[in-house]
Amino acid sequence: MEITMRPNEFTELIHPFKDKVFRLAKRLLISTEEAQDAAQDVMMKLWTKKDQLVQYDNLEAFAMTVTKNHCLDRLKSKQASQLSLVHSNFTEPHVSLDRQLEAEDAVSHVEKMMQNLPGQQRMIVQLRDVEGYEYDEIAQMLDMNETAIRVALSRARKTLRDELIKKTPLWNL
Amino acid sequence: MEPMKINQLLDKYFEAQTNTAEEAELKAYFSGQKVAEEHLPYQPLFVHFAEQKKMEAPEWKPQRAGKVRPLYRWVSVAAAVVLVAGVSWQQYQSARQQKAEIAYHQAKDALNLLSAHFNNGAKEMQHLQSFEKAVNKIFE
Repeated sequence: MEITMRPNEFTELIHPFKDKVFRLAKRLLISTEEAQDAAQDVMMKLWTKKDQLVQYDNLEAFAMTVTKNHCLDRLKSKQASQLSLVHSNFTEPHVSLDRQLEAEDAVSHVEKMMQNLPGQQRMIVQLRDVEGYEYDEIAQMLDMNETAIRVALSRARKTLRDELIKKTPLWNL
Repeated sequence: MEPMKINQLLDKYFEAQTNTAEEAELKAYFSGQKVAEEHLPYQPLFVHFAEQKKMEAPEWKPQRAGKVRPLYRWVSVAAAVVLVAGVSWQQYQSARQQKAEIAYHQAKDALNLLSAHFNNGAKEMQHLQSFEKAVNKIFE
């Protein structure tokens, strides 16, 4: 007899990582709308393979790999059709008298700096600093070795640090 | 926490040499109230990571809900098959009717031709009959 998965079993299975899939898609595609479409496409891909999913020892890592590949394909086809990648420029640092306001502004400034990182560094920062995955898990998801991941992560973190220090000269000195 | 230790951790962090526990320490420090003046520039970074982690996937768009789609897909496939089969059956039937009509007319023309020739033949037969009568009379 064939084992078939019921929809509610599938929903339970994907529940632990559905937000992570969306966040990685958003990190790569930036637009919430597109990230939502991509996340749903990923879940549909998993649903079509639902009877094989139990075989994966790390389904979450597999889902993240599917997400990465799907989003990179989307970006490629977007570039091919001459649509420009959503890319926001840095806002010029400005002097604010209210420190609280400036701190909030600095957080959204980090988001803009993240968007300006190269795609691979963006993914690695997302998986490590936001999601808190271990290096071996990230290596599996991105099909890279751990040393290469550390090199890219260090480069990304330093870029973010340098931009933050540029942004806040008054606090630092 | 001592600023010295935080500085050490930050140095390791930017070299991507911190482990998960050390990064958790940094996250806890920067989300707390007692952040030293010298570390303030880094705070937005860790605050941003923590905020990102809270972001949830929006609700699924109803028209793309995966639970019902496979069923709808099969229903639409079945409907398409029925439609195509119906249309082609009708075309097949009308083509067959046309063929039958053509065949009927051809057969009718052939029979007409045959009957015309047959009638000619029958006239000749009459001559033959009178000839035969004449011959019979001679031999009687």
